Amino acid sequence: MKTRYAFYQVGTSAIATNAFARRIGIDAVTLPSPNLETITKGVSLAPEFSCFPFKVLLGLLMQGIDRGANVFVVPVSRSVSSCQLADFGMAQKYILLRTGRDFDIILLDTIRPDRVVESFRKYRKGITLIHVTEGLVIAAQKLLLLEGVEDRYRDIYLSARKRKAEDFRRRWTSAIDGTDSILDLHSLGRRMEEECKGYPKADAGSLLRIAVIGDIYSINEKLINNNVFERLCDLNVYSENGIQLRMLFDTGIRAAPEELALSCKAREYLRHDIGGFALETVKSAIRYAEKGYDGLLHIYPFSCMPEVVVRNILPKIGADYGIPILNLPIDEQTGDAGFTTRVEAFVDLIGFRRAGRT
Amino acid sequence: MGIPVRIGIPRALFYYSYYPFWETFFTELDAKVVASGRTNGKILQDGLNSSSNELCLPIKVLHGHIIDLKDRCEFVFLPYIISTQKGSYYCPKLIATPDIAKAVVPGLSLLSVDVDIENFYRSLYSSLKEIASKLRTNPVRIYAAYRMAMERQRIFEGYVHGGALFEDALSMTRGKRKPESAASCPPARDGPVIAVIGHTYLFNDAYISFDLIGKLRKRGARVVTSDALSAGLIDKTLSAPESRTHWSLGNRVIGAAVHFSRRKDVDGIIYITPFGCASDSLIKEYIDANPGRGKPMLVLTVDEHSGDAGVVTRIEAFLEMIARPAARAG
Repeated sequence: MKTRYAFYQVGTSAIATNAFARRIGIDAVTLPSPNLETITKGVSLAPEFSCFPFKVLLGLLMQGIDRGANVFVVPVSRSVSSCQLADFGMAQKYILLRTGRDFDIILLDTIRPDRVVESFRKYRKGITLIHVTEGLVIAAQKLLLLEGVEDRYRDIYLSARKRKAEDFRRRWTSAIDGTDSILDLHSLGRRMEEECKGYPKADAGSLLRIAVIGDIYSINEKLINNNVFERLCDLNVYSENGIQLRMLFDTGIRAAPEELALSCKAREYLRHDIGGFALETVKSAIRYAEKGYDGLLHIYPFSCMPEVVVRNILPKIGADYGIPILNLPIDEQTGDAGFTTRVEAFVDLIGFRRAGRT
Repeated sequence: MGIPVRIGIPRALFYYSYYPFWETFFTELDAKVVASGRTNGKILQDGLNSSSNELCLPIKVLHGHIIDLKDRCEFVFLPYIISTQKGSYYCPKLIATPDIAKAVVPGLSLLSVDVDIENFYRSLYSSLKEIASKLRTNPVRIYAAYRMAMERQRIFEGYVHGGALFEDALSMTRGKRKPESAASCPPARDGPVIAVIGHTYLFNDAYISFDLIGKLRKRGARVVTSDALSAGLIDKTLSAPESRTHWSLGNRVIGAAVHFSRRKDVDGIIYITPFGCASDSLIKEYIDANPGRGKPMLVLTVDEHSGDAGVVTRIEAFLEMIARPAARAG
């Protein structure tokens, strides 16, 4: 039987993982972006209290099996800074084996790239560290560019028109998907910046500004977060993604002086790296509060361990730094209308608050 | 020395694992140890009022205990327990209990130490600094107190691994005879043996566990708990790496479930877990994947909305099912 791989995916990460797969020469199945069927499938088998990302990813794996995947690549990091994610792979394997689906999983130790090679050698002998490193660099580069596209999308939406923004996103996403050369990707990024200069600048000073923080999976997966960034654009609010996917691997930026100062402030509220992106969320909250943002949206899955801790600490940060925060726990029961109503009400409130100040 | 510093220890979470150690340690350092009262309606209500509703019941109760204590002592002792074994960790919510407590209980002065086996020397240094500065003492005395406390803890764990429940083990450690606590058993000879597994801070707290152990004993069952298994035994049971989770407490539950389902003398297992316990959420999958199951198992999820009658009904139904010959033979 032919080995076909499927990767965990969040947002548009499939473009990056597919490039990685092509680079190291394995056959990857493209999973659909999560839809209602994914959720229904995942929820039907997942344990009751497992977090929402677990359920969605389980559903995705089931859809992957339907499309012919038989080896799953699951990231795992065995350190204190991991959350329930450390157990996702094995638990999903147990669940799916029990229902008679046959497949294998590769656990990728994300903090040990050398082990990545070992993991893949089980199925493909010729893989070398050079292949894997190149693959990872290309994947990372694509992920950065794709996040750039999303950021620009919001800018263009606010300053020009939605149709133009959508056109921009479609063109550049397919351009990024189209090339696997590091140099091409580099020049592509520059050309994208050039094009952005052509659009009128979103007047961030007069618009309300909101930062979205919380669980990395939830805020980067549109279906899970009820497309919150689009909603904020619809309400003519300037929004920023406080926990970007680049934080998964971009460690250099954390050593910057202002980041270290931020870390010190964050550790007054949360002394240890307790797992997941809890510390990053606290840092982001303080960062945007200091930048003078009008409000924070905290989005996290119900029963997410690290973010529930943050949820209890945020009110204190909000009081200390004087920034309004809306907590939005989400799970498969979250309704679109309820979510939107709360976001709209929040935007109204911070609008009044700003009007009262000036 | 003047008036001794009063250190409050909330009767929640790790109290049930390490109280003998902490009590001896602080007493040796000339501090006065004040434990909060047993969980009751007021403590629970205070805890619920100060916590967000996504937290699990044991942490909500912890906040109630802290509120109960904070005006009666100079410091409330709440450690950051990160890992006590290499490769497995405590739940983020448990690690961050001091941070959460600081955020939700205003005007709280905490005495917090770091317990982290992976960064042993760093955590040791910061802990020594914290204790030495807050209790105005020196490392030599701290070390002496540590040795005494360790000795006491070892005696306590000896009783616990011998099958004594927390309350009994604690008073036996203090040198008293076995007391007649509500949960202590009239040892039935031929009743079914029920293994209660779960987190020690849940089933040892009679109020939030709806006195599960007492109820079982009243109905003639003999109870063993997952506390009675030593860490070494759990490790041996879960020798395969894929049978272990990321969580220390989770591994204890899995190990206990596997161990008890292999034991011939155990008739049934009751697994008690708080609602919304995320580190427990995937555990059933791990238990089911381990060989050697096949014992009847009742999963009892409790939270502040659970009712006593509901628990009674489920326990009685479970005991009746076990009493049937077919179940016992299986």
